[in-house]
Amino acid sequence: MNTVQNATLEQVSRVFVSRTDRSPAAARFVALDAVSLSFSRGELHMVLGENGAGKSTLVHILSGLDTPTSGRILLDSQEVAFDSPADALARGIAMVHQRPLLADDLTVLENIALGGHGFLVHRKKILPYVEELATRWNCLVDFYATVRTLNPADRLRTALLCALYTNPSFLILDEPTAILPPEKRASFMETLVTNANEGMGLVVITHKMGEAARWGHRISILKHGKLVRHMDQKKSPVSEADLAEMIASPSEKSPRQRSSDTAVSSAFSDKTHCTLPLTISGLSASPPNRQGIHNISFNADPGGITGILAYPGSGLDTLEDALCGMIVTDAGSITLPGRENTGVQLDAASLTPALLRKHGVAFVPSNRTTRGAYPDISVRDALLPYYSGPFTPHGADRFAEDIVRREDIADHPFRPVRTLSGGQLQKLILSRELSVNPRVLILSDPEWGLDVASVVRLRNRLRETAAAGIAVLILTDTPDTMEVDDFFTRTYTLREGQLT
Amino acid sequence: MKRIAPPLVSFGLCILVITLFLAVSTPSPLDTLGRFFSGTFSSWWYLGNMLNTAVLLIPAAIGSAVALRSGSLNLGGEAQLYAPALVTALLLSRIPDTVPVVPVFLAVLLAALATGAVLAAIPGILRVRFHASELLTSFLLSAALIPLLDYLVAGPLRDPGKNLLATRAIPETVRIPPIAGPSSFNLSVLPILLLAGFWALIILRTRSGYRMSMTGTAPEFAVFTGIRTGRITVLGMTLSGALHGLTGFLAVTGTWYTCHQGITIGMGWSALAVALIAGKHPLAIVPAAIIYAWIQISGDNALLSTRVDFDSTAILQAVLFLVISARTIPTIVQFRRKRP
Repeated sequence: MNTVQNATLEQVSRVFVSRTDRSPAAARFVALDAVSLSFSRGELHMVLGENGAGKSTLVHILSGLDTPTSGRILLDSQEVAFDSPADALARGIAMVHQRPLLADDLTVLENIALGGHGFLVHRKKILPYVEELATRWNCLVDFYATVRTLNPADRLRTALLCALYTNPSFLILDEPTAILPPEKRASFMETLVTNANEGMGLVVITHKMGEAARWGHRISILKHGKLVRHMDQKKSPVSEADLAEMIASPSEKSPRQRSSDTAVSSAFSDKTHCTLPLTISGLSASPPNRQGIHNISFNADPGGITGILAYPGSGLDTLEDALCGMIVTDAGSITLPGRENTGVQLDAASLTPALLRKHGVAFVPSNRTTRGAYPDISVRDALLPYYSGPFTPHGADRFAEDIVRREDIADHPFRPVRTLSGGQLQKLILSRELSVNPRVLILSDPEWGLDVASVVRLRNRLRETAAAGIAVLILTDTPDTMEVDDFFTRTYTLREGQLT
Repeated sequence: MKRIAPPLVSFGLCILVITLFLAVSTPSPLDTLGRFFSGTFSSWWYLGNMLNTAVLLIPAAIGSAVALRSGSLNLGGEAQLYAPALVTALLLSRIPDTVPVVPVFLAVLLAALATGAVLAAIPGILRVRFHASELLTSFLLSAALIPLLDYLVAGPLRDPGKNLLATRAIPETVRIPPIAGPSSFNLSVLPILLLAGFWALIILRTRSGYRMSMTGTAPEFAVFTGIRTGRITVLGMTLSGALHGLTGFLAVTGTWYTCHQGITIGMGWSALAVALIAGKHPLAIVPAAIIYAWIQISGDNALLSTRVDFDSTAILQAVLFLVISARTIPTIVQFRRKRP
């Protein structure tokens, strides 16, 4: 039925223009700049690029989630316009997002069946076909599990099956391996290659140059919204090292000199820091339909970086929510380093974000989109929650502008958060959280969605932060990416809701 | 241009629908339409009444906007206007001549604000405490109270000396002086314009305004960054009720000098429509209220010359809510889903 052989973007540009309550002029941000690129069936096409290079915008346009400001989309040289992902799907282009939106209260099989045609759904009837798909694509999930109870990797597999069930000609995957357990990544990529060889068009966004060089049939590199390189691995293969060289900016800027006149005091001149650790003892929580945590106890020392490394699905999200006071816990207590070298002991059951903030805890959540910030608010508003000066153009707006400039983010602070890339947003959230001189900094999945250069910058920054006497705690379920150069001063492992 | 297009389209549609209604229901369409489009500007009487309607709408519309900003939908505006109006009329009509006017006036104003505030705070508290939808509770509370208020006005509290279903008139000393002849346009316009400016200042230039906006647009972000959203929800609803109460107070002290049955004439809903149509910018409430009042007064005026007996307020609200809800409902639904 779907016989599209080629999907081509021709001179596609996407410019975000934003207006807010306060800014008289519109803010412009060029996310994609006249990119022409062709995707073919039977190929695994890797799209590489740094944070904010325009990878997401590119595939959003191809999958109907976004519309280009100018340029054309051609399917087999016939021009099309997608108003929604459903349009794209009808033409055989499906996309699997990294953190996909699924019907949480339905089972895996029901979610898959939603993509079918016709009025009635026959669960039994579709089962053999779905099972065959799952085997062919190496993504076995419990078909009768409720989606809410799945771990991120199984959610991704479910979303993949949902997309495959619609029998697309082209399948777009957004960093699929980042969410899979390390030992499953290679076999997953092999499955992709096999299916590409059998005729499907696969487009994979990734930061991982090794993955791109090893598996990709074609590799395209985006930088600052422009297509800078396009390579055919079959004709002239490039290695990971070649790619690294191409991606690295010609002049990788040294961290900018921090201006001292900004309203944010980033210098930790206050040397009277507490030497007491952040202590969690006996923390338990059992939120409905999620992996609970049991009797968690650990210390995070000031001046060090403590890591809690978790296996996917072992309750890290519950631990994160409990630590930042977003869910009600069953038991436990938390002792925070206070101001005058005294500990402040709090009952875990009474934790609220407001209380933790008051006691000097800063938090960079794994959910940056709706918790760390919000797509519809302006960058300025996302930066202001702890700002204590006057809300005037000279006060609040300047404060936000300074952070944006210091973090090297293009354009001005009135653009909506929605237009930032994942990495840019994370930098801003971290900067905001550090602006209040916290005594404890907790980060969850901080490297998620970051490119190599950003990860290096982030690590340096965290080391600096720790060196200033702050207790840094990192929660992560992709530990392999972080276990380098003695980055952590101490680590704990979270497995099935318990620390070992 | 993009930002002011939706309200203009909404108002344009209203005018179109009302024009069509008028054109088919009158023996002389040209005459009636002429009345509709220029009648309001033909005399101080109409113009003054139109402006007064706008002035009455503004506090209640700001009230609706406060609730919307902080993430609630206050549908109890009718009772939150009516009850304070009754309280005002009742208290002011019973004061002896001997007490000084100004303190009494202010005390009664406070009583009216408090009455509205309590009526709206209840749904706010129910929402924060028991996760009861304030949209339902505020509407139901209002719907249950209105017949009771109607009974009080027509029964025990009715002025026995008059033939109206109304309470006793308030003494002349406590009436807000009119500024445009026989029309009910009165001095309250000045404090109300100040109030509108003050509201804009709070939203654009204060931390409280910022917290309120964040609670409304990005609830999870607000909770996470330490904003006490529960308090803001209750505070938003309470202020919303108090501002509706202000409209009720002004309706008695500046316009009717008594509380008659059905004094609100749908103003609670009109105020909500004005707030929704004014959208994000806090100052937009003033022009939106004026245009709304113009359509309403002109419609009523033109209807006098038709053979059909219908109420332009009803059409106006129907069309506006239809247009606005098409834009608003997705936002509200999305918002409810995201609330942790």
